Amino acid sequence: VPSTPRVQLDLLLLAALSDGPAHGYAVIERVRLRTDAEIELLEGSVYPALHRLEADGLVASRWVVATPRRKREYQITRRGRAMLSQHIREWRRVARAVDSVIGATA
Amino acid sequence: VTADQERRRFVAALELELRVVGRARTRILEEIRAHLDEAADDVDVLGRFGAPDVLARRFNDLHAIQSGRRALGGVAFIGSIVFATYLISVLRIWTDAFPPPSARRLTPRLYEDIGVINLLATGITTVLFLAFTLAVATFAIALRSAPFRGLAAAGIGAMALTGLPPLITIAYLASPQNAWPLAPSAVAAVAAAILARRSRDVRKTATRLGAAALTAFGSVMCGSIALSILLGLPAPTSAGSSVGYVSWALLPVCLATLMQARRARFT
Repeated sequence: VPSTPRVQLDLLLLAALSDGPAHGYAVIERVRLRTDAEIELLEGSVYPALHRLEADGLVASRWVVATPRRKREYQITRRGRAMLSQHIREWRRVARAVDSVIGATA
Repeated sequence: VTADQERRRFVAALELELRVVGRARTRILEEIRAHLDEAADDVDVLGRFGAPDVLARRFNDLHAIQSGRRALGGVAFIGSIVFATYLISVLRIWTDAFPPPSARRLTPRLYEDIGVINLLATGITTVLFLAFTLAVATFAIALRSAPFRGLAAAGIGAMALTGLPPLITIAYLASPQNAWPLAPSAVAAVAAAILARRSRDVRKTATRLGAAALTAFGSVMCGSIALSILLGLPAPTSAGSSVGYVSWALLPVCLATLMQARRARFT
């Protein structure tokens, strides 16, 4: 299956980070605002996913000074951008396929 | 109970369940605390994080795989060094005019070329230290790169699982009197096998690598047997040598693996 829920989560996180570096909270906010709150990512999934993406070399992170406590900021890597393009292509292919099924039954 | 107290309890519960250690642990807890600080009091942020034990388990699984890969890479690397040293020492013992009878029988040509091989072995031993230093430095640098870390550790770990045991067995059969240097390699291979349980990537790579190696070995053995029958020559497995015994023992495994590999599309 080219588009599993995990791939979809990776796609959303990488797309949100392609706008620029952000910490976990901001990533969730970006997705929420861009989708008019249609998609609300859950924190319990986002943070482990960000750690996994970093382990795979798709994002990089660093501490940034903030008050009251420092924050971990994530940035998409070159490899992450390549993966994002691939995920987008896959997603469009799946969306087209699903559309054609829905269109046939509607 | 205020929102602040609830959030503190959540972090305390997460701390209890989290099995990640060191900098990774500090990072996780600090990230969660920063997120909770930022979230407004009226938002059910704890509900969005889920149960602390479930969240902790996600992090535990993720970091166990990573540390497993690193540990395996290290163990495999050390094992390879120990084993390479052993091979060199065996080669030198042989070329110092103590080849085992099987080697004398099987490789008269090698025995004739002993001067060249001795020179080669001495040369290898001389540059061995430099080569190891270079390898350690390269490995240390490469491990800093996350994409390489995953791939290389899985590959090296898989090599330790699939490569070391047969090599140790063959080396032992070839020269049992010099078996003592095998002990560290054997320990390294066992440690690698134990650690492999923690990494799904390593297990998968090892299975594929093992299947590919056995398939290749089986193909060569079957081919050489067929050729020896066709040409009326003695089969390599009938020479009564240690290599011959190992070959015979591995042949059914090779055939079984060939069939499995075909089914599982390993090759």
